[in-house]
Amino acid sequence: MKFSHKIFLMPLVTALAFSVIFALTQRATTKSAQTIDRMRDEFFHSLELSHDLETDLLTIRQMLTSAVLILEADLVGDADSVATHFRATLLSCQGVPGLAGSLEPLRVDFEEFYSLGQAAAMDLIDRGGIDSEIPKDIPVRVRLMDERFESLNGVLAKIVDDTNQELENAIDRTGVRIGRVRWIMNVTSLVFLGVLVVISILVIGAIVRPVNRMSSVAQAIAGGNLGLELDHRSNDALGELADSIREMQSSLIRDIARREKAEADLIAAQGQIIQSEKMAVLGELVAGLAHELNTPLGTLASSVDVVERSRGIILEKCSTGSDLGEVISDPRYQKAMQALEKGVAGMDTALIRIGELVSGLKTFSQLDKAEFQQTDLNEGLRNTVKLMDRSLPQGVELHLELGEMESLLGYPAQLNQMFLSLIMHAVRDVTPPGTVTVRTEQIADQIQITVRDTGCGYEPDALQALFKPGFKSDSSRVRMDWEMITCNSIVDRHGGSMAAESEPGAGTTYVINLPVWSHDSG
Amino acid sequence: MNDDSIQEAASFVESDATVLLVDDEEMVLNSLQSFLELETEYNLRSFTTPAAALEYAMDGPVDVVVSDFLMPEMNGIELLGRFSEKHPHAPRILLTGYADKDSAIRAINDIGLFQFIEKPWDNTNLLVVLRNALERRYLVKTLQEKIAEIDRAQGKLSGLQNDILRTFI
Repeated sequence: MKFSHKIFLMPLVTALAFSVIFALTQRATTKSAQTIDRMRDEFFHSLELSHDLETDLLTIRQMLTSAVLILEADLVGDADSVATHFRATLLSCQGVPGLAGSLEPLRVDFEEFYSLGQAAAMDLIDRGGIDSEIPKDIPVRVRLMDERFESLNGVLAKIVDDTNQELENAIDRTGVRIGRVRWIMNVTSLVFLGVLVVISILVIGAIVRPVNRMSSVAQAIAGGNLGLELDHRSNDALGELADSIREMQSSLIRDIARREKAEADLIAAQGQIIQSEKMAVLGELVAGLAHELNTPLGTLASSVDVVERSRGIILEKCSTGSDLGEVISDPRYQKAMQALEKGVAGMDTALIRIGELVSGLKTFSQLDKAEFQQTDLNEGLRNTVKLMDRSLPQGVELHLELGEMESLLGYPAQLNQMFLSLIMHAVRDVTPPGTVTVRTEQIADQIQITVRDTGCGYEPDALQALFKPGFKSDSSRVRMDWEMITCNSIVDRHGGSMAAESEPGAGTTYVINLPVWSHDSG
Repeated sequence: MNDDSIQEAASFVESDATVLLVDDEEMVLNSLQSFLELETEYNLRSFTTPAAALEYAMDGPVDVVVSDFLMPEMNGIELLGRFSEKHPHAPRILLTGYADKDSAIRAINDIGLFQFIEKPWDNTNLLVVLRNALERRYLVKTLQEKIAEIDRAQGKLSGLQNDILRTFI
């Protein structure tokens, strides 16, 4: 798995830089503290030393003065040992930086002071005290010694002052340095903050924005919109993700195109099938119609022939017979008269049958287009049932359960004819006693008409055959049946659908769904 | 065939020939009947269902059968096939309005149909076919009688032959 190296390197680099800066400032602070420590040590050391030296000096002065006053030579020796201590102390000061320069004049002054003092004391002691005449140079010497002492003290004070000054300077310097460090720290923090902001922006730019884009594209894809283009391209995991989203998108587009084509093909094929089915239906219809017509046509032709022959016989008898009585009593003449009657009756029957066929065909093909208008189905059903009431067989009950509904845009005459056919079909299937129930109901913008009978019912094959043209046999004769086909085509013309469910022995239910807002398709 | 030949053919035919007419359409039966009543002396029997026709055929005389093709319960070919069991020598005629000639021709071969007439039919043609059928029926009947006579004669002859042989042996 690859990740954007740049992005993950940035906080690392920043952290590293920050720790380096932190270490540097830490070091600088530590150094300053060390310097101050050292300076303080130095100061205290020099203070201690100068104090030592001052004490020593005072002691020496005291001793030498006392030695002069009480003429005690031992005191001079003691002063000598203190002087040795002073010298040692002075020597030890050599290691203290900052003092080194002040030491030499101090040592020179001290030696001068001490030699003066010692010499003066020794001189007095040698002379046997001050009771004796005090040599004139003694006060001068003491004055000189005091001067030296003063200057020594001054030097010492100066040393202390210098050291003190140096310490203060060092402290000041450290303060400045600390201020600088603080500034650096502040600047670094600001820079770090800035870097963080920049990194955030970069991260947002590098990850969040493409991810958001991908998410919106993915959502668009999920929502069915494949038109959004994903422009993110990179060499990392995000890029891979974007690539796979693009791939998915294009394969989806391909799939959809393929499916659309397949669907179009399917629809075209279905159209062809429907068309060829229509042609097959038409073919069967024509064949059936030919058969149906041949029967009355045969009768008609035969009857015409019989009438013709009878007429010939009658004419012949009338022209050859001597008188009317003889003609009428001729059995051949009588036979011809009978045949004439029968022939005319046959012609009549045949013509009626042909008329029925043609009117059925007309209804089927909708040659007589009734007006297309707002139609009250319930009213139509009531009228249809009224028409049928007289022809209902004994023991068959017809129930109407009419629900409230909007009026429907359609051909009232066709719809009524459809109801009549359907109800008559249902009634024919019922062996009394039984019932046929007609129910109407509006479900959303669909009107549902249910016709249920408690009749013989159909096997699945027979039920399907009901809706196909062909010969149906009922109890009396085989005939071409287009009742159901006509019903179906009327339902079709109203943009509806028709279905039937049946159980042999239990009855059949026909369900018709018609849209309230149907359009004239025919 | 002209009217003379029809008359000639008719002279072969017994006037009391029994003709069965089977069709589920009453009007077809009526028109056939009125025509045949006018032009012939046949004994006509009409049936609207194959079952009734078969029931009659159990013990009634049958010389010719004319049947429709499409009928409830049983089609004409099946019905005519059933007739051949009981009346093998009665010629069978199919009168059909159904345009499927293939199945009709196959039926002619399968059950030995005498003729196949399409609706609407021509009365004269129908009459010729009927007369030919009856003539054939008559000829077959006569032939059968002659064969029976010859059989009998041959039986007698062989009896005589046996007698002669026995006398000699």
